[in-house]
Amino acid sequence: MFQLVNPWALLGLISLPILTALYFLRNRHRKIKVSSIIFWQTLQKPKQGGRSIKNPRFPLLFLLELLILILLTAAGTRILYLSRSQRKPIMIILDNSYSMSAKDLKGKSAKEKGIIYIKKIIKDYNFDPYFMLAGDSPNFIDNSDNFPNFKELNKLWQCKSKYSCLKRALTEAKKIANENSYFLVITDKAPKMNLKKNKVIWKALGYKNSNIGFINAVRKTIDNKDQCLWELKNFSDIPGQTTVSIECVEKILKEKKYNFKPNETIKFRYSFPEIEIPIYCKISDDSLNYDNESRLLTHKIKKVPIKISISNKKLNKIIYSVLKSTNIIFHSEKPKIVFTDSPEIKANEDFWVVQIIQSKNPRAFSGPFIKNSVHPINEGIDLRGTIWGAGKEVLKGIPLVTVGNTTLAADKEINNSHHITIKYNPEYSNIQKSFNFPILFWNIFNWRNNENIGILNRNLRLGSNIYLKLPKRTTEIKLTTPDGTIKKISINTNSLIYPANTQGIYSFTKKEQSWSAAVNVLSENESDLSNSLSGEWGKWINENNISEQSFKSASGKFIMIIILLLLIHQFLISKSSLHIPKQHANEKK
Amino acid sequence: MDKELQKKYLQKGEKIGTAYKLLFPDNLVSGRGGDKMSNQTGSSLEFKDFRHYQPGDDLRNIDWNAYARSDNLIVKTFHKEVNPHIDIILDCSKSMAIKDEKSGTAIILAAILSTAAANSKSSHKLWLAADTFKETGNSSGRPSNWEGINFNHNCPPTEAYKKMAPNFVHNSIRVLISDLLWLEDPETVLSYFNHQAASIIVLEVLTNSEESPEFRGNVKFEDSESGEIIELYLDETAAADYIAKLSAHRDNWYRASQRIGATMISLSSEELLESKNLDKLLKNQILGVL
Repeated sequence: MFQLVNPWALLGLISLPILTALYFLRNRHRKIKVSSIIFWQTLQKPKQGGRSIKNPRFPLLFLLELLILILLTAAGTRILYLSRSQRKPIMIILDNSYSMSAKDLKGKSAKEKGIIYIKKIIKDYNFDPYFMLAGDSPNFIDNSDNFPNFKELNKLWQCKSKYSCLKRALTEAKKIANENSYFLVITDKAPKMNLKKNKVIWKALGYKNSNIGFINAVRKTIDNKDQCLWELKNFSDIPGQTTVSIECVEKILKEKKYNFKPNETIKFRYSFPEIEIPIYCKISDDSLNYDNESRLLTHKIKKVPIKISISNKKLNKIIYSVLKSTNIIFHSEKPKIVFTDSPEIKANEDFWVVQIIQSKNPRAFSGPFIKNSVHPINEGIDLRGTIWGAGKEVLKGIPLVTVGNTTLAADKEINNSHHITIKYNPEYSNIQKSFNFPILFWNIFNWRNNENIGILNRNLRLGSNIYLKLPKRTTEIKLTTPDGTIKKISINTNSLIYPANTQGIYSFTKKEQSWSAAVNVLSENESDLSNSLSGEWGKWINENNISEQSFKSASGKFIMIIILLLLIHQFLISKSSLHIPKQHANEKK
Repeated sequence: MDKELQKKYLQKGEKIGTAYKLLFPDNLVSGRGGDKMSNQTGSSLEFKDFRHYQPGDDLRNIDWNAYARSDNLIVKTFHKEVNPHIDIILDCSKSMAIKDEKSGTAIILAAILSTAAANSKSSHKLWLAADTFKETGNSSGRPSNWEGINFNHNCPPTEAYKKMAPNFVHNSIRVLISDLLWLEDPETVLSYFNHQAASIIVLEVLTNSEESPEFRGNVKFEDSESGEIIELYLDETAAADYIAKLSAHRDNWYRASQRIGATMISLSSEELLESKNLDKLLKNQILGVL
């Protein structure tokens, strides 16, 4: 892109035809008839050699003069050119949540309006843009090679996340950007933070609209029967209506029209015999279609074979009771977990061991309890207000729960098996009366189940991780994503944690074995368009001068080239004028 | 040059020539005596002057009466009796007609010389050095009656001489009127015309622009005879180079003339036509005023 500061200087181009005319007039040969050319011929004779070679005449001097005049004119016009190095960088943070794909009354989404706005901003201010997607996590788009490729940007900016980490993305962008950078946030909601003065513009392009969407979807197989539960919510202050359609392999199983009161949530169930195929539930199209479909896979909870070998009758009763309450166990002679109070039983390849240690000198610990929060056994555990009776014995392995310098529970890994030790004196404890106790044991079973091959939880919310345990010596599996893309994934640890960033069905295949997981949107925050709006917050410093700062004058470069050309011109002239006197001098000698 | 202009030049030369006489060189002696009295001292019966005796004088010419009166040896001198002839050779190559002034000057000179010769009671003949040597029509008559002069030939006089040598009169005065603009050894050229000649006179006729070219810039020169074309950028340096070369060429001719006893005179056509100044011819005792 160029700009001319002094366009009237283009009048200097008039000199070009004048120079051309002068050149041709000057170089036109006057024909003169002379008596003899004998004395003129000697002027042309070569100094050495025989025949003179006549090279094609190239009017280099004339071309140089023309070029100099053109460059002088160009320098006079003060051409300003757009330099990427001079352009002010702008970090554009794009809201990648799925609410950005909600349409307004004209059928345009905030994303579509955002692209138009970005194009305009870049053109008006001559920015050098850099893009960052704000989804579940910030994702910087490297556009250095194909700047600014909006087609590519449109592909990458899919708006399918259930959350947009705009604040985090803005922080990350400020870390990457230099001090001259400008920031632009494209979203559909108002800012929830104070914008730094003169640096950030927050552009919301949303539209407050009504929407009905799924907020919950569950499928469980109990007693050879599949049970599905869906929750639909009307995110609007006005009543709404939608038609729910339950489908299976393109066959409609049930269809029903529901009327919603303002902000009403409706639950509905559907039961059918156990079947290993996905069930789809769809509602009518509305302003946001991304949350109008839910798919569920059969989810059969596997029961864990256990064996209880506890000699203390009272403890045996308590443990038996709590294990039974989890409802996912059965007693077996080939257990996967053995519950015991004997130190003699050690974990091996066949089973894990949960050893309960009853101390002879117990104490009642009331906290504060410190739990190893990354360990699966502690998931959902809240020990506030709990009294835990235990002794001072030293436990081997990774501490799971400690109080002060006393370890209450520990996990020791033996040959890929786990030996969990729990110090527990029921007479000094009230933990068995809290919800933490069944949770603790349920977590143990769940953890053990996780070690089974396959996907533990097959129906997930968008943004969750898919946990897949694979057979030993698996090195590679094939993944088919919801959009049909097939990827090959290398496996190192017989397990895979894959982030489910798009709703749909993910299929993992290893030769003849396959596992699949269904991912559904189910996000109230994103489906609720009542907070969507349009507006602009913040301001850029020197907003009116940004465009001018991006231009650089080319006059200096032109002048340098002109000087160089003038030197060449002078050299050529002096070289040609030296030719005849030299010849003349030689002849006189 | 058209015939009318040529006629005018001939008449002009004839008119100018009436005021002059041709002066003969010393060695112009006729074997059997001549019809004309020479200004030189000779052996005719017509008394010319007295002078003191010098050793070697013929004793028969001593005026014994004067000796008796003055007691000095006085010798009587008599006019020389000659039979003079002038062969005028006019270079008729195209280069002579590069300008009407140049060819006109050559014609006028030929006419002046032939008229002056007639005034000196000398015979004359005009030779045209064209493709071959040939006499002009009425070549021994009055210049205004000359015919057939054309400057449209492509070879220099020597080429014409080689093709057919002219029948010059024995012991005649030979005058070459030319621009001398061809490359050949001048001594060789003059030797052709010097054979059995009383004397040779070379009249070089050039225009002012030939002597000192005034044009500058890009020029395309066309040779009047060969038609060859060369393109040049002419500046002061190139012009100076040309003048130096012309001067060297002219010096060669002067030196060659000196060696064989010829007289060479350079004339400017414009100068001669404008001022009708024949000082150079008078100074070199080629012409005398009547």
